[in-house]
Amino acid sequence: MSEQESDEVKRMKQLEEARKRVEELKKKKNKKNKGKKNKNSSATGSIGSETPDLEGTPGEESTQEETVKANSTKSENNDQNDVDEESEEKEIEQVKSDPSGTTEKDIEEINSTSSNVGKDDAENTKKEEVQEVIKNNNDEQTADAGKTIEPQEEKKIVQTQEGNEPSNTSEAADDLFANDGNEESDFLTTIKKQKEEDELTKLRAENEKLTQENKQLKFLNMENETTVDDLQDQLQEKEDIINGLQNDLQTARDELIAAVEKLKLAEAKAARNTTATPIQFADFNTSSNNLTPSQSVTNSGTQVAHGNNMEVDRVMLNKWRQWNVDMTTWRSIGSGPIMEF
Amino acid sequence: MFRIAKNLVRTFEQSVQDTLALSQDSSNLDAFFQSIPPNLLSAQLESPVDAVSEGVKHTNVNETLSGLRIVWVDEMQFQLQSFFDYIVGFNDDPVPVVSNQHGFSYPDYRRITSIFNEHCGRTLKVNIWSAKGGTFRDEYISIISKESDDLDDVSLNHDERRPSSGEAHQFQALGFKVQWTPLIASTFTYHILNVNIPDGPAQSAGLIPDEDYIIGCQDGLLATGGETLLQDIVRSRANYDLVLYVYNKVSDCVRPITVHIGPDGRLGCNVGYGFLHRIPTVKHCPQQAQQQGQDDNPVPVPVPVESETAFVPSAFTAPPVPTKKKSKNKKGTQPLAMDDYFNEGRDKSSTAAKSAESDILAPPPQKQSSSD
Repeated sequence: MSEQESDEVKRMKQLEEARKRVEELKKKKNKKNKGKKNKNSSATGSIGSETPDLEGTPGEESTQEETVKANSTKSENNDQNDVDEESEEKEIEQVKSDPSGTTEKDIEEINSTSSNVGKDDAENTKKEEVQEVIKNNNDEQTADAGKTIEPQEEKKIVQTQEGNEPSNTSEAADDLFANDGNEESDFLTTIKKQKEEDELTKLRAENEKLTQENKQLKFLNMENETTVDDLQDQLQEKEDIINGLQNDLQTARDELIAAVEKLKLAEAKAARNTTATPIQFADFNTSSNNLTPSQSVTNSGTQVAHGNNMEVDRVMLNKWRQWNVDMTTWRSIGSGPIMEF
Repeated sequence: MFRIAKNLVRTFEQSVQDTLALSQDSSNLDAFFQSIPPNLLSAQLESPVDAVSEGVKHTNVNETLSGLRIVWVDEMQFQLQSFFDYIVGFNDDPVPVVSNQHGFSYPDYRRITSIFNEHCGRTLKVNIWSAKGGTFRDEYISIISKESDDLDDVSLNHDERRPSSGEAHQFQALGFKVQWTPLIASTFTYHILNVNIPDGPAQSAGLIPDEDYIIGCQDGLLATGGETLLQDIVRSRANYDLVLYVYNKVSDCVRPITVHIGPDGRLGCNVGYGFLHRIPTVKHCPQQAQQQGQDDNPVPVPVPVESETAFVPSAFTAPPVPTKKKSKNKKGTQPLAMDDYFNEGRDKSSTAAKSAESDILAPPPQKQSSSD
């Protein structure tokens, strides 16, 4: 913390020095030549510092001259500083009337003087720093100008606000007094009229709202009616579907009954076929070699029944054993007559 | 290079030999007919040579090889079966054939009749070739002499009867009819492979896949054979009924079926034709054996009576003519004794053959009665 404070103090000192120098330049433009001379003297001082090593006695003389010049510059600086301080104080008093500011400035001045006294040898380096500080001061001046402008604007705004308020209040008061004093009956009538007008507007608004609500309700009614119609149509469709399903159910039942009957008939036929086998056996025994078409048809019929079931009736096939086909009337690639033995 | 050249020469030689072998195979006998003893085919095999000498060439022997096909069988005849059986010899001798001027051979029916007449009162060995697997077997048929009192039906066409029959039959009817037919005709069969149309004509008719063979079609329309013949017939009979004669290899039976062909002219099944689809050999089942045993029972009943009656006519025929009687008696005695001797041996072998083949044969008492 002590280091930070010391740094801040140094910065403040540098700033004050820069301000002083700027003021000096503005006030004493004519003294630029002196400044130049001071610079020349500083140059000659440097040359002198080099020569003492070679010459013993002239070195001492140059040093004495330098000390005199330095004292003169110091005195000038002190004068300039005093002027600057006064101007600054005025400004500060104008803007701020705080006593703490003065105390701070005094402290700064004291510090600056001590630093000037303590650091005579490093003037060259300070000059460079001064140039940099000058730039910073210019920036600060512009900022200060902005600050000075802003309070004026604020004052103007405040003034306008203050001006507006009393006018409103005065007008209200004038109105009240004028009405009360001059025309009491007009006042009452106007009040009544206003009330009536307000009521009318309210009623009209209510009327409009009600009409709108009425319209909306009508539309809702229409929509409801359409929905009712749609629902009725859907009901009819569903009833039709139900009727169709019932019909399908009835047809399915009928088909089932028919199928059952067919199964019964098939079973009966199967039973007949099983019972008919002995008859076929009898036919086989009594039949001749050449079957009649009816017999062949019946045989093929029985085979058809079994063929549909893809079952081979071995019993029927075995009955055909030892049966020989008669080829005497067939076409043949044989030659010569058919001989019987 | 020389090795390559040698290899090329060898390959060419092999190809030439293969082609020659193929040409020779065309003249060789089909495997289906090789079960027939060569001596029974000698007469027919010689005739192509004569034909070649006369300028006519028969490149394929299989097409000309023929036999007496059984085309009809009586109910009482159980030794033979129509369509499948061919008589290719008598007493291990080929069927007597005669060649005409064109080099074609046909049977000598007079000679055949005389053979039957010579064996009146005895049994005759008939050499049979069957189309069921191309098997060869011997059947012993007992020939019963005709009684003098019995009368035969005589056809009005005397001219036709005389050249056809030649000599009069001195024996009772044997119960079968024959016709000279090439053996290859028995291979014109169509194998039912599978039924591919549900509820189609084939399935409705009851055709059994892989078991049934179509062997005939409505009065012999399939007689000439051919891969597309059945298809053409079925297409031509669209929207009509068609009678098919079907052989079942499992039951060993032939049955007629009536098939109604639809408008599309399809039978509704896949059919195989050719060498691989010929009728196979019969496999004897226990049921078949039982039935055959049952069939064997009625056979011995009429035979002894016939044998007794057969012995009497020879005694009656000897006395009427004295001079002729003497010569006949001499001839009759000598061949009878010799025949009896040979018959005894044959009967024994025939019994063994019958037991092996489980066919119908005369029982032992017949032999004793004949020897007595």
